[in-house]
Amino acid sequence: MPRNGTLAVASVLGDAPHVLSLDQPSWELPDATCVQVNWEVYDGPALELTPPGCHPSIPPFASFFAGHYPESPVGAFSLVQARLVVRAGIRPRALCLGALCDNPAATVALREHWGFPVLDGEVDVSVRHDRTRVSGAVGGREVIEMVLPNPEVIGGSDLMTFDNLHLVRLGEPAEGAILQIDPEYAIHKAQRARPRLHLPDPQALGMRGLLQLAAPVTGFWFTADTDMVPVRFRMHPEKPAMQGTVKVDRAA
Amino acid sequence: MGLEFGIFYELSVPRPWDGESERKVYENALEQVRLADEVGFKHVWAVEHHFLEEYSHCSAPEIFLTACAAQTKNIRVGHGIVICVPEFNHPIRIAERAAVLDIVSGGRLEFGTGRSATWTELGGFGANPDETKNSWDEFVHTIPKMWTQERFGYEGEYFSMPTRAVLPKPYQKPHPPMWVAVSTPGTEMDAADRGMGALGVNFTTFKAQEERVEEYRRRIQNCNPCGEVVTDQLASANFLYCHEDSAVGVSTGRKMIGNFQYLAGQLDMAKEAYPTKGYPSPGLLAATRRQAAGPGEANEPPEGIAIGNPDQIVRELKKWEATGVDRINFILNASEIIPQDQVLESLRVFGREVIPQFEGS
Repeated sequence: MPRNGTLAVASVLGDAPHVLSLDQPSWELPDATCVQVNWEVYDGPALELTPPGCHPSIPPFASFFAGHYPESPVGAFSLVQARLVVRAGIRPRALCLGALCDNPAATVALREHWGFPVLDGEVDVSVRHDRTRVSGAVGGREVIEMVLPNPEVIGGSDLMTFDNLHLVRLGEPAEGAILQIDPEYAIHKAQRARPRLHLPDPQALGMRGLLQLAAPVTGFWFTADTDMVPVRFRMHPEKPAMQGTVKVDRAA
Repeated sequence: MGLEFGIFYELSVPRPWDGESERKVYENALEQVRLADEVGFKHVWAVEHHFLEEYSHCSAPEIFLTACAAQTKNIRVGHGIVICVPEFNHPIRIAERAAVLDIVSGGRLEFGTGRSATWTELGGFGANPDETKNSWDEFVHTIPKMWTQERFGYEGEYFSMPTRAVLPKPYQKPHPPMWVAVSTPGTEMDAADRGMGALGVNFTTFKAQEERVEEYRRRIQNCNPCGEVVTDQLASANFLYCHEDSAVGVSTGRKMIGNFQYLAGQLDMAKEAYPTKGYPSPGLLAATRRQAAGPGEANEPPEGIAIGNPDQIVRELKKWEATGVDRINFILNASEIIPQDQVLESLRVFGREVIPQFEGS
């Protein structure tokens, strides 16, 4: 059967966000501009970043994702994430390794409500007619740049986003858990390009020097109405997803 | 003519792998093919997949099918499919290898074509997912000419060649029947328009299936054939486990299907990694897998799926027959989850008690 990830969960859990309860708010996030860059990564290191409850995808690839959200309950914010595509059972999911956000209030909310492994930083998402660019920096030092030059129009139904998985400390006393974050997207328009990706700091964004870029797949950007909703599913990080995933009981 | 039955090979190899793992899977498959030939199956199909760990280790189907042909008498051997994308296969080499297989099999080749469905493979060969439909179309129009024309030259978008005699020519005249894999609803019409058989029609309700069959039959009457043979045939994919005891048949069959589903779910489908109109569906028998994995009732197979005792299987296959589908090709195992002796016994029971109830077989 498929390989399981070899992430030493206990060794990284101490740094994971602490989510006290699954009683999250619902956020409407209209008119978002989102950018996704898919890039194959090397197999061995990717396995070390994958929790034992998940399988690596074949081949392993990263899916960097950025969004500018002009309206939210905490004001406008931009978020950039480094994510590794894994399998929770048979479902493709994007394990969020690390993220930066340019709005401190959003950083706190995303971290404490939904378990984004996010830190404060400078994030810029800019769309021009001939290129779309995302940059993420910490203290003025750039840690990620994604560029989509000369993009071409594609259909919204052609593209596929991934639900996030966030490794967190859940509840009190805290126990390790993986939360699935599954926003909806009502896509207005989309474009695709052969991406350029620059990661000057391999330790940043939770990559721990392990995520090693192998070959580009593609990049696309889109505008959409999206949301952030209460968590519906949680997983045990070390049990197979088919056995360790439970639906969050909101009625209780 | 009634329903005909075939078997369909992915050649999945479970981990952990050792020096004998793949050889064992190939040997088991060949033993199954020999038995299938004896008990009345009409066709054996083998995929062309690359890099699909555990799911399929069948990357050179023409060689496996040659072994099948050499060890059997009657069963026809089919590419399910050969990938018609230039980065994977040059069309001249496709034409040549197919002709040789047709010769050494004594004219038993069924020529299935396709264009791959996963980023794993497309990316592995550096192929452009946007272009594969067009390259497939160019290949299926030119390969028959390589077979039937003494000499062939061509200037095209995806390949060109100066005039040469492409040799050998296939044994079947004018050439083997041609098929195309269909994994997205509606693309069987691409097959109909080109006079090709539709291989692996996507699972849907029986009523919808009947309508699509009717539309296929109507369209193929006015086809513009890509070759010199019109193959007016629809084949569907299914799973098979036949056991006299219904409970054993259904539970073992479900275990096989669950395994297959799980392995297929690990792969990076084209759509998942690379957004393109060229790959609108998840591929790899997605709808069949979904239907087969449905909850259903205990000791009853999911609707349309050929697992259970002979009576149950006959009942489900009669429903397929009523839609007008000509053939059903069965997956017999996944990652060897069912022991070989049980797979063989399933084939024997099916051959003895189910096949005789279908006129075409």
